Amino acid sequence: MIERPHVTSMLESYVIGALSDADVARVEAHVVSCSACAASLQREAELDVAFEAVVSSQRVPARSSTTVKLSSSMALGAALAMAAAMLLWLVPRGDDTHAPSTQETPSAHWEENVDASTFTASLDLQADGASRLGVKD
Amino acid sequence: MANLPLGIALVPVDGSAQTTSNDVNDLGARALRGDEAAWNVLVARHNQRVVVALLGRGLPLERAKDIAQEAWLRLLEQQRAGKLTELKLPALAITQATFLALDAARRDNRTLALTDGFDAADPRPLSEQRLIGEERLARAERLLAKCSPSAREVFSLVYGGGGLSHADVAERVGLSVQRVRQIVCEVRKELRRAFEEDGDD
Repeated sequence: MIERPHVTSMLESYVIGALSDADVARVEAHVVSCSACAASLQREAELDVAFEAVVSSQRVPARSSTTVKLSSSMALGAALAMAAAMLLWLVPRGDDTHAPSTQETPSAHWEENVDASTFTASLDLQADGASRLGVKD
Repeated sequence: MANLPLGIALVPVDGSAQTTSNDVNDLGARALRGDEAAWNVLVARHNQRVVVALLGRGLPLERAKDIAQEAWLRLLEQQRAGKLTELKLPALAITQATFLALDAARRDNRTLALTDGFDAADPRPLSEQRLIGEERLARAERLLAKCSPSAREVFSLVYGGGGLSHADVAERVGLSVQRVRQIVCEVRKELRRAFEEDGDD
């Protein structure tokens, strides 16, 4: 029996949808017969579930509603920063970077969230186990 | 190519399925009118996301693919019966698939992973219910809170249920597709490490 090489390095790309059709087929063909890769794939997918849960439950601050709370020890620095900003407000700003920031002012960085590309949907889950999808009256 | 019994083919995700966000409204409207070609594109575009959602809830791959297909069929049946008036993908398909998986698990007297918070009587979509352990959810939340605004924006678009491709997200945030994927992978790496530490405890 010829053992096929593991596909561990492709699992994350599979989960985030970054593989070609050929590679998707290769991963799936391997995973169904390899318990180790199947377990790894499940762990990768669990990360997606976690992120989706956080984002969809709006536990990630929305761009338009994120607030910044300053501790008392940061208040003086913030006041000084505001004074400096008032002096420099005419100076053009550079583009936003992706470096992590410990003190963010999202309203200054995030553009208006416009997402008109999707339809809304409804799915009523019934206590008796039935489901009702967007039922018309 | 897999074929669904109702005549909807699971076509490979090629260029025709890589629609821009501008096409999504049109595709959804056509699908709601029963346009099978539109369904084809939508299924091809979102099916793997549905499968991954089921994998993340503990289903083996083959079972996840079967249930994903069944979920699409249920949506089609609803559309053909005139009962599907709105369509938000992939969120609706994921919700339907998760429900089918839960129903199957219940019949088999099994539990589905990551569903401690599921309440069938809760009218909220499944995606808004607590489907994973609170500690893991808190880990992910803290991790995302530490990210830059740009990274959070990428995550809100990629994981927000709007069905945007990485190319769509890249276009919206003004980054390259490669950079979008890099951001996703960097944050995933951190959460993977945190989950592994949990597992070691």
